[in-house]
Amino acid sequence: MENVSILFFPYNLIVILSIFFALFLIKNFSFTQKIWHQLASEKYLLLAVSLFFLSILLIQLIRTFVPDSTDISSFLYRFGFSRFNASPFLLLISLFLFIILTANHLSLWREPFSLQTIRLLFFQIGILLIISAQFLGFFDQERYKMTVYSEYPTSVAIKDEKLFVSMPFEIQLINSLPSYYPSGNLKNVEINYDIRYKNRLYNIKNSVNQPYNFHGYDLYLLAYDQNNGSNPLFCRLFIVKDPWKFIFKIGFITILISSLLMLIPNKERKKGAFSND
Amino acid sequence: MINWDNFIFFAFSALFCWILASFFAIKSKEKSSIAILLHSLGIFIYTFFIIGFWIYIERPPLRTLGETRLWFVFFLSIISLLIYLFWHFKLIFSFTTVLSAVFILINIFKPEIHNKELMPALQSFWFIPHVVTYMFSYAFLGTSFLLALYHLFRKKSTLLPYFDDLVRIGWASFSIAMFLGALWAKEAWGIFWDWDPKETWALLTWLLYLIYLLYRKTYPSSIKKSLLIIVFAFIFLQLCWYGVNYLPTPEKSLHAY
Repeated sequence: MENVSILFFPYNLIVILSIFFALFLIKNFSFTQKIWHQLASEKYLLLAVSLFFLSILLIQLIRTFVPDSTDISSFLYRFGFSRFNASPFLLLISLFLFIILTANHLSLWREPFSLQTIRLLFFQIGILLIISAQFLGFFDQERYKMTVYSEYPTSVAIKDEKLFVSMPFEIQLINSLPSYYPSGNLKNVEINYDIRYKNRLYNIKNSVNQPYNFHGYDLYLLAYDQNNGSNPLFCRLFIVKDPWKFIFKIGFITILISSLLMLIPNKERKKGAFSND
Repeated sequence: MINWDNFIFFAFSALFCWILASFFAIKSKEKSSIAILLHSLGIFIYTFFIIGFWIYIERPPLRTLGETRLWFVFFLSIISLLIYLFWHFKLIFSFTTVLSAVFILINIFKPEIHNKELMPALQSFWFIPHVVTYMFSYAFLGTSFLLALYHLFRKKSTLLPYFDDLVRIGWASFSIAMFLGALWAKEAWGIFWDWDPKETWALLTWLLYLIYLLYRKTYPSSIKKSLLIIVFAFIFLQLCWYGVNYLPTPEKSLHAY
């Protein structure tokens, strides 16, 4: 999957827009109306969700029960069946789900507005945004791991766990501020380091759960040298550039809204008691 | 101070109240005030333990599996009371009491370490809403499982409209918990979704309940199959909650605490 360059920006955006355009054409031509009704039907949506579910289950079972060392595992790896982020198979199923969901969504706008319709609209928009960001936006993501030292500044990072690259900035570790429980276990830690970027020096404080955004890169504290207290010799950073993160966040928030709306009971629910006999 | 050693006394007292409430609920033809009072007393005793234990360990009791089981039983007892009050299903106390007893006994016979420490990754604003909402949804989905089993054995269709409500609320809160978790993951690990075994089983469970909701809408008269989906989905939920810890995994789970 790492080599599927066709899905880098702007091609991933073109794929999404093409799906919308194709569905728009199918919807508006009389001779494709039958196909449109099939695509937009709940039966097809059920089929698409079930296929998505089964494909994830299959990959998860392979990941769980087929050890890496076996021949079958390397065979499955070659065809991308045992890792989610490297599965063209899952990408195809996701695209199918995306198409069906979009068709179902477009048809929903014609229905009269009710609480049920509104929460479905929100939910579908959220899912469409998340599928776009997860499966198509994945290719635009940059992930680096960087070991930062106190003795000298470094700009070398490892991209996607395999490729050494030089970052546009240099980082040098200054010190850390750890706190401990009475048992001696780490309670929390704040790492202090300098970043040199375009001849300017920035002093950064970083701790777990508190990433730092630096010129489009999010810096996360992964690990640090615990043996040397407040004067660690090194720390490890995870550096991410994710241009689709806002799409992800909007998708999540939209789904959260629809989920909150789902907690409101349906008006058409009849009040009454169970039959206790 | 209330520590974990006191759990057995509080849990058995609450369980005793819930068993009595079940008895009075079954005996009475109308809504039984005694059953409601006894069940509420059980909830009060159980809640008292959770609050006391929270104060004692100086952190939210949500870190270990045993602590999450505490919350599951807590929400299960509240949901059963609501179902009895609003829908007057008199067997609900018996069902939820049996399930609560199972989880309480697991907590008693398989005690875990409940110390005051909370690792840095868990010291986050998202920790409490993420786990509590999950437990809230598990309790709703657990209740739907109990009613589905009852329905499958009794073959009565009068319960069916209620399943949709229970699953819808459970699934909606499951969604909230899952997506709050994704937002937290972005803040802690830099990625919204990592296909970690726990995350993947959670997604599978979520999808299975979504399949139930879609199936009910597409085939409203196919009742038995709908109920079987609920039963299967609850098995997936158990896998996602703690079963995943017993499965072989190629890499260390980010959710192993």
